[in-house]
Amino acid sequence: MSSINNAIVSYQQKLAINRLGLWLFFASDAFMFGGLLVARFYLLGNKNLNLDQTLGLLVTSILLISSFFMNRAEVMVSEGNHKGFITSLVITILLGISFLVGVVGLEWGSAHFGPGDGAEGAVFYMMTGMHAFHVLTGIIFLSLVLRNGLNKKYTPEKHYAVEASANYWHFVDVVWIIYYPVLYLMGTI
Amino acid sequence: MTKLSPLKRGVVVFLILGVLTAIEYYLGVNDVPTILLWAIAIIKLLLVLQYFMHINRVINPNKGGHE
Repeated sequence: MSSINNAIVSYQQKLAINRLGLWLFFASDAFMFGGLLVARFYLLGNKNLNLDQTLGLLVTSILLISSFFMNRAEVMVSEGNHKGFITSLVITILLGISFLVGVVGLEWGSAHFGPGDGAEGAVFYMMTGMHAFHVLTGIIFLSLVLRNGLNKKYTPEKHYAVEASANYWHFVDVVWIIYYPVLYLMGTI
Repeated sequence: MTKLSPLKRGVVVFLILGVLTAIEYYLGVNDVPTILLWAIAIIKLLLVLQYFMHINRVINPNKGGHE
């Protein structure tokens, strides 16, 4: 065991291992989201869920803008711009909360079916619910990074937690990039 | 794209994603073939993987924004 510890000597090596571990997690999580995607086509085929298109576009835009600000936060911390980093991170968190309100607070309330109303309800609430859960955990993750950021624990040289939280946030965005057309745009009513 | 500063690159990628989303919405509400929506979604996905998630850092661990 000590030989393994001795082998991992540099921060660069730890960084490479941390990155690989995070991406393995993304891969495993993608299988879960992929399973739900397959279930949507298996249960509903080419049927469109007839959801509120304006609200769908709005929440998608919010998540897209949040991804931009998360990327900006990561760039800012790597350039040593503390104020820019904190500002971008706060905007990302607020946009994430807005996305949650849009999907869980508004879309769930305006959908013309409930969670128990057959395949439509099962597919829609499971897919959006599981994604919203990831958004929620992302907000918690970003809040912890924000707290550490306010305590100036990140430097341009060492800020892997910022990179990891940014990647997690972008992963959540990637899932929605696929889920948005699948839930809102594809199929016929 | 690689010659741009990271901040400008982020802006460019964001604008491309925004335009693609608008096209996607327009096509979606006008009942175009599903394959087009898939194509746009995959392009968006690849852009985020490459420029926001920096997937190259996993393939090449020596790359990265910090030492």
